Amino acid sequence: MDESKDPLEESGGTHSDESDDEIDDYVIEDMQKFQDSFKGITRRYRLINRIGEGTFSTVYKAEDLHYDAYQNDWDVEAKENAKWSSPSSRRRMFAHRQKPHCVAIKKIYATSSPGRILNELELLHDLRDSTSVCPLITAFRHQDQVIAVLPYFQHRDFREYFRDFTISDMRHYFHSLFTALKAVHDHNILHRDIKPTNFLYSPTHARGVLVDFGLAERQGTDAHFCTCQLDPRDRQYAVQSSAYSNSLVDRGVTPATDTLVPAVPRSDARATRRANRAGTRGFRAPEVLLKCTAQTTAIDVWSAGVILLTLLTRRFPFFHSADDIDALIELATIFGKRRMREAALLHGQVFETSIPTVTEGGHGFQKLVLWCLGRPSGSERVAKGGAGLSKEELEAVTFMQECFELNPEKRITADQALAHPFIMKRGVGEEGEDEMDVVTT
Amino acid sequence: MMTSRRVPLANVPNATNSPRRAVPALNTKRHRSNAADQRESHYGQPPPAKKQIIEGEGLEGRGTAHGFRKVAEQKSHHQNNENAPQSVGARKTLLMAKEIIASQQKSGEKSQKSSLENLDTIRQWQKYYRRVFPSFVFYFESIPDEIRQKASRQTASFGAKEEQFFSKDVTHVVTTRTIPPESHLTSPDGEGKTSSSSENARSKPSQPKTINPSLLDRLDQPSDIKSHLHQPKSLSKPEGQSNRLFKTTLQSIQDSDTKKLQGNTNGILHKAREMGMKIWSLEKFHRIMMTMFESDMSEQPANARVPRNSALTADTSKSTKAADLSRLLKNEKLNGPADLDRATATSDMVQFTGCYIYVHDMDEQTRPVMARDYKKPANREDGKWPQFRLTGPGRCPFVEDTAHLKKLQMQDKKLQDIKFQEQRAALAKSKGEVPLHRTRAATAIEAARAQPAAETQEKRALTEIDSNVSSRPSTATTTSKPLEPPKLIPAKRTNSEVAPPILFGSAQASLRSLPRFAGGEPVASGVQPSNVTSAIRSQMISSTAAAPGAMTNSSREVHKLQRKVLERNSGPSANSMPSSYMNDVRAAINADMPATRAAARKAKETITRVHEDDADEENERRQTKQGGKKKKDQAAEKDLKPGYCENCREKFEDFDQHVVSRKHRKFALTLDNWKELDALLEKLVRPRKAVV
Repeated sequence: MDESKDPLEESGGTHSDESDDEIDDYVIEDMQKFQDSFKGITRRYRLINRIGEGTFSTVYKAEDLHYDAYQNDWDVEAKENAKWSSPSSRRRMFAHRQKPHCVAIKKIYATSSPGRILNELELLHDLRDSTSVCPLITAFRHQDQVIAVLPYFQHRDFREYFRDFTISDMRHYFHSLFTALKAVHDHNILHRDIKPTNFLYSPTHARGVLVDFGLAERQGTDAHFCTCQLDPRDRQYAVQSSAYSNSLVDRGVTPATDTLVPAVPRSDARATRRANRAGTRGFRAPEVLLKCTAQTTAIDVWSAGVILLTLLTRRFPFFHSADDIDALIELATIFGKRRMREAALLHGQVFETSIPTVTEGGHGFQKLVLWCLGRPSGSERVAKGGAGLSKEELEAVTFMQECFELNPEKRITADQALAHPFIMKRGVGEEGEDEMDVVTT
Repeated sequence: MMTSRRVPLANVPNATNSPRRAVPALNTKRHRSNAADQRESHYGQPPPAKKQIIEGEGLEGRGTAHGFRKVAEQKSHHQNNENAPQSVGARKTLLMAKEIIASQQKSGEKSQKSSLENLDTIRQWQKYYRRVFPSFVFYFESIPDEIRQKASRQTASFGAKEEQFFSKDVTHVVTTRTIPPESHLTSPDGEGKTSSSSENARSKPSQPKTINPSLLDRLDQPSDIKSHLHQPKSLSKPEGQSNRLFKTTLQSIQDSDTKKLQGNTNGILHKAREMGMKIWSLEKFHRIMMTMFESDMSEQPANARVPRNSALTADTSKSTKAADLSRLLKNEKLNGPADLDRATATSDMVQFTGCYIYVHDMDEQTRPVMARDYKKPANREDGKWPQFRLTGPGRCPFVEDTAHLKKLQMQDKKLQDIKFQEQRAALAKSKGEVPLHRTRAATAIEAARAQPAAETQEKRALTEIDSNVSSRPSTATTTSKPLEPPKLIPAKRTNSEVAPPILFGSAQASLRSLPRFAGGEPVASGVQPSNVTSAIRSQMISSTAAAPGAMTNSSREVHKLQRKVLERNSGPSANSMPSSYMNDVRAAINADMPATRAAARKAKETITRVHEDDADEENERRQTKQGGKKKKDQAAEKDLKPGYCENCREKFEDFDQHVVSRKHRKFALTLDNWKELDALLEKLVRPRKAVV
């Protein structure tokens, strides 16, 4: 299975509703079944609610019954409370002990192969000391049922806040997200499914954790040669000597002037190009859509860029396609034919389209953002004297464009992103708690 | 088997089936793929000894190797003609290139390992030729029109000109007919002799001497000669025969010469010779063009048109040939059929007819990654592909937002009421009448624009759209869309019948109009969509390929969806769709792809359906909630969760049933299966607090 959930179907994944008392009957039924099937789980955890369903798993919120018997290095909130609260308030906390310690229990479906489960848990284990990556408290197996215990992270549903995020909020959000990405990428791991649902963010704490490594993989897994791995000169050479280039030259046309309508064989016995497409629609990098066979961690940066686009345009989801083809058309609508051709050729692919709304040059991001926000742009703005993008917004757009570099090799890395002014300037000019962030980093 | 095939051609320097020989090819029946021919033609060449190269002239258009020699030769002539001094270095390079090309031709594929150095030399050759090409003036003689046009384009792309009529300005004549011989125009070192007409004329008288007198009797049969002349096929005849033919031709030329038959087209070739023009066979011309276009000759020996039937019916078991075939196929596709077998050809290929997107391998080694044809709509905003739409704040800009459009429509109407009257007089002057809705809408927008004070948030979005017209013309018309009734009215009708309200409970219901609705239909029946077309199936295969473990693409999602449909109130997650089904629906919507009729119908209903639902959304949501509660018991009874088990490698109808099946239990209880995972789990044991 390579499709993760659609951005729209995941309220479950970012369940932040505290109204635990309202639980549907069928959920109770489901939890009962789960408890029955997993011997001894009730002794350690009390299931509270079902909070999400992933592709290969269901996630429950549960009370950690023996919290105090274990070392809980993972519990950031507890640590923070201890650190910043006065002795008196700490005492208050003790008095408040009634409040249950919650964890998230991820039930991985019994039909998942041990190999798949191993992959996910192993990667999580590798990343155990990484900031902003959801730590694994423990995991165990009962016959074919494997469960992973993760911290229950206080966060808000993306849809609650994406419309009123300020640029300043975005700086914090992406600082946190790219901190997680840097950790993951430093371990040579591709998350493959970066999207708001998988980044549990708490705007009040300006902190988030990256979750769901179900699709993650180590870079180079099943990879084989792709034209994009050649150095630019060799690649250009390969392109120039390709059958396609020759046919163009033969006909004395350039891709832009080519009017010949292509045809496809009715039955095609050629091999299918295969590449990992795992991820979520709308967040897939162009190289994933183009079936690059040597994908890198850059695909995650692209997805992060999509989140930023969502926030800047205040539209969620921004991309919304039924499949990869429509997804590529959406990208082409923005980037234009010329750049899509270049992007495709990087991976030895020829991009051709006659779709009239896909223009040669595409649209600029600045204009796009303004348009999405219902603010005038271009000549109209000049005529009306309306405001374009603010300096802050421009900085965000610039950063986003670097995430949207079509060439994965040239795309900004998580490491570089953390040094980008857009992220570096977080907290500047803000008041109160936010300044602490600047101090601590 | 290749060798056994190759043998006969080895004796035939000029392969009859050479795709470049467009005219003759039309008359000859093809027996096999030109892929073979092309490769073979290289094997078939006589060893291009250096001596030969320097000595230069033999028969025109003999073989590929020879062709390149001639090219180089031509260059030197050209230079002489132009009195352009050539540096010794460049000269050397070109000679080297000649040799390299020749040797590469000889060794065929083996030469692929030829060093970059060689390629470099060839590139220099190319570079040189590209430079001098603009000074060339071509005259195409006895070339069918379509080929001539293409050739003309090709030459033009390098800056050369084409003369419609034969004149003294012509530097190169390209012909399909046998070429009258040149006198020894080039000295052994390729440098001394010129090709000036005077020289030519002087040398000519010596030529008759070379004619074998035994052939003179041929002159009694001029028709025979003529037929040969017009049948370039003869070029590929065994050496002896073509030699004879050559001589015959020559004889005929002399004959005509002496008779001063100026009307004879053959006279043009003769004249051309006389005037020191270069005469190229069409084949040679193609070869030269090819070489100039190619950047890697060792890799791209065959870039010619081939009969597509040969490419398609080719034995796929010959994996080594597959690449060539696909490339040839591509060439065929791009260049059009090279033979008369058009009927076969067209039935094997499907040409896009609408608005297409086509992403394919530049070397045509693999199947296209994407190929989809969207029906050409009357207005581009009616196209079913994703495009920017006018949507409300927060909404996906690619998905039509009917509620928002309605709102705009209302505003528009108001605006029209208020402003239209005022503007009418003025506009009528400049624009004439305004009878159509569309024009009216546009007018209204303009009117609105002229009144910045009256702007609302929505209105600004509208005007913004309008302001983008230059770069995104479609959006301008988009604004007028809500004024077109046909879409909205039928939608209402289908509404109640088709819509299972279950899926509309989602908070995002209106965001994703299409799949959400389509999803309700087939899945509710609890069966995996069986109407999977081959195209979709192949996508499924490809999409799962890289995922760890073999799985079918849709099963899990269907499974998940299934559960959600049955559970109803699991909220927005009801948007889940089996991607294969979505493809199906997409395909159906976008028409002309082989989706089932039912899916197509469903899809169409879906499209129309989405237009009206937003107004009733709230209503529906409420209904959904109630409906869900009522049906709960029913649902629990048949709560089947179909899916695929990675461990048993099989599909199942019901998850709960499957996990207790013997096979699955056996897997679950076999410790060996879990060894690795258990090893990791040991590391994950939760550390207890140290006892204080």
